[in-house]
Amino acid sequence: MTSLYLALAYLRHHWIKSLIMVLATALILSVPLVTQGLLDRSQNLMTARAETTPLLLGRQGSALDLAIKALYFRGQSPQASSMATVDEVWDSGYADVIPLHIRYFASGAPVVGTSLDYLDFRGFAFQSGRAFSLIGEAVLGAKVAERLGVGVGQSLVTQPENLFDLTATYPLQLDIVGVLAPTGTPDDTAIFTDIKTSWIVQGIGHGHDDVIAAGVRPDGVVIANAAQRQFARITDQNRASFHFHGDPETYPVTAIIALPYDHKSQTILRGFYQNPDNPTQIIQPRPLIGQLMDNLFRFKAILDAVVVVVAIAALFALGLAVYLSLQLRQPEIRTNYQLGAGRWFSVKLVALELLVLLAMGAGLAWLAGLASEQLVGELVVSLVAPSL
Amino acid sequence: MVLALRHGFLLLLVLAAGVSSHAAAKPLVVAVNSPLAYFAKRLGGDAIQVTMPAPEGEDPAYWEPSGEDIADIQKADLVLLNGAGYAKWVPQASLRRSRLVDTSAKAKDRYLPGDAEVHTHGGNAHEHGVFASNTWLDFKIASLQAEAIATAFKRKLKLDASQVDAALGTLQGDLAALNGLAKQAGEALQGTALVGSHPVYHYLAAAYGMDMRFIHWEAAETITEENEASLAALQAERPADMMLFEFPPSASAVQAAERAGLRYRVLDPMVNTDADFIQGMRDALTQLKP
Amino acid sequence: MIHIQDLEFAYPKANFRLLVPELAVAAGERVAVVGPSGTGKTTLLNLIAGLLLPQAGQIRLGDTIMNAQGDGGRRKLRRQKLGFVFQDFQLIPYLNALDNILHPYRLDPAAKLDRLARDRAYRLSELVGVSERLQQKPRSLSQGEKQRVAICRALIRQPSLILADEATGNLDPENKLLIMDLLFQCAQDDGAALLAVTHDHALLERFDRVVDFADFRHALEPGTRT
Repeated sequence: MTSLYLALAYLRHHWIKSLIMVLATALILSVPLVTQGLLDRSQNLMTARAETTPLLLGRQGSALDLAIKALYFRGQSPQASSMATVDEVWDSGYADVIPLHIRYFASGAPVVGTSLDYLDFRGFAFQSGRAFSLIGEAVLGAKVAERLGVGVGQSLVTQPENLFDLTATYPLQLDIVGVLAPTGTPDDTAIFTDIKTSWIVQGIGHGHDDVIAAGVRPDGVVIANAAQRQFARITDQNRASFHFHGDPETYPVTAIIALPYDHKSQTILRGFYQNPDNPTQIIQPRPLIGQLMDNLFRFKAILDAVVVVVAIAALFALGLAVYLSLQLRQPEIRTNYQLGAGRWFSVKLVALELLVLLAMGAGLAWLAGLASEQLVGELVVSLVAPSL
Repeated sequence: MVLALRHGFLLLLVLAAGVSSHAAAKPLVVAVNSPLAYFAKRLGGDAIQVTMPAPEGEDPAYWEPSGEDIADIQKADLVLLNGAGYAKWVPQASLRRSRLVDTSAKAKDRYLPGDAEVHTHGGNAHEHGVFASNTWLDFKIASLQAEAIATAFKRKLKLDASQVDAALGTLQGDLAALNGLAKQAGEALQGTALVGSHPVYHYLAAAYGMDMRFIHWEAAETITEENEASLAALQAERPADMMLFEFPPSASAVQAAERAGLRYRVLDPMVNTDADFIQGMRDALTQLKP
Repeated sequence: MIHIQDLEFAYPKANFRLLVPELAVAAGERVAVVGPSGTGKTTLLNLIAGLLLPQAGQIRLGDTIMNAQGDGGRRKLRRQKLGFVFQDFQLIPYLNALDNILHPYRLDPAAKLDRLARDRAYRLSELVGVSERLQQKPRSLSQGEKQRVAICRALIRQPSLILADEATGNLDPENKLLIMDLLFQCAQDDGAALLAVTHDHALLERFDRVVDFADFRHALEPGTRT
């Protein structure tokens, strides 16, 4: 107890040195702690998402791109599949199907065109408002609403895919009709709308005023006036004029979530699409993301090795600091000896000081680990999935 | 004694709550038009709640529901669509595909072309509303639609299969009878050229061999000169003998038809009515003779 | 209190040897050891404190023969029977004056740092005039204040023998007398023996007795080094 009193007095007296040593210890210890925390949390987040999504379908290509896009709305856009595949899976009778169209952004948040089934499937609760029910309506994830400070009754405008995209996409105003309760998943960061709305953004569907006839061809076809206006907003007045062109089977779908009715259905579906000649690929997100996490953990093992080396170097530095401070404390140690201190008195004192420093450093590192866990969510996904 | 009474009262309350919550748990079925709603009621009976959301007097095919109307429809356990592009609002709305039933899906090969609206974008013509959509006026298609509803009731709402099948049997019997009546009408009308006051009878005409062309009259309203001109043009091309109205026509419409030398009959497609579909159709078909 | 007999000591490579046939200091007696600086006066104090061991002879502290004890025993004797006042004070830099005074308690696992001990620290500090400076660390104390604190530390456990090694060597003339008087007074209050090494002749008349160190120093003839 008295030794602890003296140790603390020494550390307090040399507080700058103590602080530096505590920080150094904390830094060294926090690297493995923080990375472990990040990885654990990210693994939970990512695998939880993957686990709740039994099957994904999309165009043949990178399975990982498909999974990351469909699960976390990030990364490279995989080649689009089509509604034909959606219908095919529906008609197979083995699964419920949820199409996802993830290509456009509004105010920096991904616009996820999907069906109401997605909202049911993820079990969303509403903070305010209701689900989208008409084209042009959108529902915001909790974080999007918070970040942009918008809510029901307000609107967002989609961004052109790139500046040079002059052909198809007029920015479309999305009317916010609902805000989701926070879920702690990537859904918080997305804007949900009916997939038909996404198609309108893409230029597949459009609306205009009632055709202003410029003339009627001899075969009876009405020639529309060139001054036909393209709407950037879907209103009650013009909604009915919105329509889609081309064969609905060809409408693009980024990814398709399939919810097989049972294990047998799942096996049959997988078997059906596993042929590499099939333009559609089918993936099970769970093992895929598991593999990704395994790679991350392999990377973590390398990082840990680096940390060990750095820690050894730091230990040497710490040893040197202790040695030098002992040199400086020779007079004090000698005084204690002269005053009759026990043989181990000074050793005990120095050891206790080190122990206190290490404990404080470790405590700080632990706090850093805790704090980092609070910050992950988004961060981790962006680490794992290269952002756009 | 008081205690026992109190307990008895509590028990009653609990029972009442159980009954009412059970009642609230009845699956909700939304049908886009009255014929489908009628079929649904016949097939589901007391086990379900059926609504047809278009307000009274509105044509369900052209009704434009608000977002809130759709939000109500989204709550339905099953939404019965007519198919063939019927109800313009359907493509604008977000509905759960898993809860949609395209009742005429099995009759896709029997869809008939409708009144095409065509417009061009930079020279590429495209058509809207390619199919005529009053499919139930071909009672064989109507029978398939009833069957599709019955299947959905059994599979998706898990209604008692034997009850649904029994109801389907009688309903299909009724529809077969209508089919017979329509056939008789078709035969009786051989040699009679018909004009539909509105393009709503494609399936009836095609299925039962009726010679029918269409104009665009609002039968319940005053007939304009333009309306008369279009009929005159039709008559000039090839004279017709009889006109079919969706509703009892206005005096002005009756006079206009008579001026053009046409008799008239009323055949309501029954898109928005609480009336008994079978009874209504039977009555309309029986009076459909030259 | 202290009784030295036939003491012999020589550093391994030194050219002189310390021979003390007899030296005794009674309880309450104040004895000065004089001699030119660097001649081994400190060595004598170190022998008495058991920091060095003589080659021959006996150093008796009360009933105990210091040089017959092992290291642990000598440490214990130092803790319990001796008080030290050093020329350069040797205060612990990171402890305040009060903690420096109480330091001997913290060095001794057998000692109890209780209210009695603290009261004594306050009393001593008042006696030497540093009671207002108890919360200060050594670096903010003047030389005189530091030595006063050192005196308090030497006396806190009521030692039977106080060893003072050039205790006033670093002080100005005015402080020298004052500090020595304080040391004398405190030692007297406790009835402690005082053995002080000094080369300050102005202080000598205040001691009961003066021992000339030259009497103990003997040049070694070549070849007789031990």
